[in-house]
Amino acid sequence: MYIYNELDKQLLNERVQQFRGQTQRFLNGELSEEAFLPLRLQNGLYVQRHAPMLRVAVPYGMLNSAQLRKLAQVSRDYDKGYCHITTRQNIQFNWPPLEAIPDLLQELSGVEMHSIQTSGNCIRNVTSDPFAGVAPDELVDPRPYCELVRQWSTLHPEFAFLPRKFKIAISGSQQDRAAIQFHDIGLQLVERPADQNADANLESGVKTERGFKIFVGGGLGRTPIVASQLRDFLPERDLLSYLCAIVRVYNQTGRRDNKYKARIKILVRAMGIDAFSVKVEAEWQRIKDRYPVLEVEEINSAQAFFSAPAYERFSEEVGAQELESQIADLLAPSQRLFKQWLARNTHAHKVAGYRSVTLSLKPTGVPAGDLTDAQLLAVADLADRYSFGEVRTTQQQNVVLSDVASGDLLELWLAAKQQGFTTANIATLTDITCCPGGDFCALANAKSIPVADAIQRRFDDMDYVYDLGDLSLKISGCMNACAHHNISHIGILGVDKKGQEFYQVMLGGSAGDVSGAAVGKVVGPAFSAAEIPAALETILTLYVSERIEGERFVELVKRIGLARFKRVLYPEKKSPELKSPEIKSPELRSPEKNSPATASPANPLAEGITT
Amino acid sequence: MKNTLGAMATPTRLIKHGELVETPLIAQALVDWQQAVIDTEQVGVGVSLLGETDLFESGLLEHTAALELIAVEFPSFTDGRGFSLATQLRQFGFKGELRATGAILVDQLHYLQRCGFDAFELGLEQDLTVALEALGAFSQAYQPGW
Repeated sequence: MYIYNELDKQLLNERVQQFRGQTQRFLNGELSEEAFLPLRLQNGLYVQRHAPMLRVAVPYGMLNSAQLRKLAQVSRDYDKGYCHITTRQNIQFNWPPLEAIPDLLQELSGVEMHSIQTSGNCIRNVTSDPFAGVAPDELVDPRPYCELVRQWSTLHPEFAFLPRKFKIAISGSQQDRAAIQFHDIGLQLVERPADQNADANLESGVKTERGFKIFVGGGLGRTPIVASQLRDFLPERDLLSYLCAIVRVYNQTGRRDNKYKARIKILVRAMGIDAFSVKVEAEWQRIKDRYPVLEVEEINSAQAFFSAPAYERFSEEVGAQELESQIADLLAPSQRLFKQWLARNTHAHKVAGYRSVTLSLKPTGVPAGDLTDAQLLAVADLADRYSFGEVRTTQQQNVVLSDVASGDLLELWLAAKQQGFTTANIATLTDITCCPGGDFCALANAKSIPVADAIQRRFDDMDYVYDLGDLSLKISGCMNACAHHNISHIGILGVDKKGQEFYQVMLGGSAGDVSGAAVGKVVGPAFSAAEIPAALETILTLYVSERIEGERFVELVKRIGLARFKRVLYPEKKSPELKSPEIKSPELRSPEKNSPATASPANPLAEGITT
Repeated sequence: MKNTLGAMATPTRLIKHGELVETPLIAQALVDWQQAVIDTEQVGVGVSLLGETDLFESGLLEHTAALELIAVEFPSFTDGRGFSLATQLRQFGFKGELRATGAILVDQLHYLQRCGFDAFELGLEQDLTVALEALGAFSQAYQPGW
């Protein structure tokens, strides 16, 4: 994991001081709300329904145990004893008082954490594959490049007031687990045979050349678009100058008259990828020779931070045997649960005798991605004991222990069970990704947490859930799509119809896994919250009856099309005005105890938590 | 403080090279670049232009060597195009005074300076002490300078 040097520390301290001054001037009335807005957003600070919300950066999802313990303490001292993992791998605090935030940030800086550029119209935290460095299908570990991009984009003076937010994701594996084609820039690490005519390659005997396939203009929100390929291959040494060229073209030509048309995806679509490419290449030609290249030494030193931990040498067979004998010692019901957990929540590792483990933050009855202070401490202990002191956060709002020896799995399972982390539902129907929705977010049209809760309760038969196989279900409370509902196999979108909450259902979306990147399509008229579980059941029943051997849900949707689903979902003409019965939110940690004065939906300063 | 080119709505003060300048070249004296391209004779001491100007397509680049001052106006403080224009002007060799005018925040001065601006026109309502301090907000940087 990356460790801060003197430069990083100095910059972070200066940033905390800068924000302390800005906050003080705002509280003293010396800085207008209008002027404070972009400044606080670039420090991840939103004004929300009940209180300010602070988003803390987790660079490409990596956290160590010291950071987890600090987050636990901060959530206790400055918040209500919990935090929330976002769909962009970051951490959110929902209740810190504004005047305490400079102190909170100072505390976080002690463990090399911050909220820099976690919001605002600037380059956001770089996201990546939660299995980076350990996935068997990985070509190149993306994390060193993520770190180089983090440094390049952090406090970048030219790109702090872009037309709109800007997100970069990097993947280094065959299967894309970072949804790179739904980012403003998606970088796919690739290798190609080295140009043997180049003198440098001839001398050094280099056989392959490393670089990036570059995608641009992908995005979600109200206009979901799969990115276009901008370049087949860019040598790694040119990465930063090329990024600069893309972002500069966007900064200078992206629309600024309408915030809904200001993302780079709209620019790329309006210009066409070819014309956009000509403009980027022209700018790049102008700057590339005067821009510092990434030298081999620089890349090597970034890679050194992500070298493999001190794995013990196990043979796959011995590990498997040991695990079998441990299972044999368990009572039958436990055996079954443990095996289910092994099948769903642990993943292949590139080192023999190791597995990656996902701690599920999706037990029924808890908002997706929420972690209490005690749970944060428990994750830190589990990481120290079983996974070299590090964890990763995922876009699905779970936590991954990336390096667990097979022989430790049972012990880990027993310990994690006590904290409620062992719901064996990873990548199944009930591993629901869910935005904070109308319970918290000022932008939301509808609640999302209670809908997720109702679905989990309806589908509590795990055998049925396992039989459905790999399935992604994501729920967003508005079209800003923070839960990424439109790239989910089943997506649910909260909409407002004459003051009532309704939910659109989309089918066939995919973030870019084995079935390729695709945007889901709306299946028909929206349902009330109360109708959603039954509608899902209808959809899944059709899948079960129509699937052919081994066919996954998303593949079936592609094969049989939406019309079949439409027929079973809307058998006869519905009455146009369905009344939406009230559904109750599950136990939220008492929002009403907060000062209602800070923000209300009508407050013009209140903004949504668009991740 | 919304300015239109060449006509200042409110009195301003100028910070240049980290200090308050008592008698700056006032912006009224600057030639509007849009007019300057119509009559290139007018390209004299300095020009003022909008942050959205395209350095290459506008033909400005070929005149920069003859200019002592270029004032880049920000139509609003959230419009960051002037940051890129300034960076490009410096990258392509402009050595004269590069002045940020219009809607700029004192909290933006450090980034503006790093993009190549060396002079900043501030309104009377802006706090000079805070502005001078803000220039030095960071002592280091991750990125190369222009």
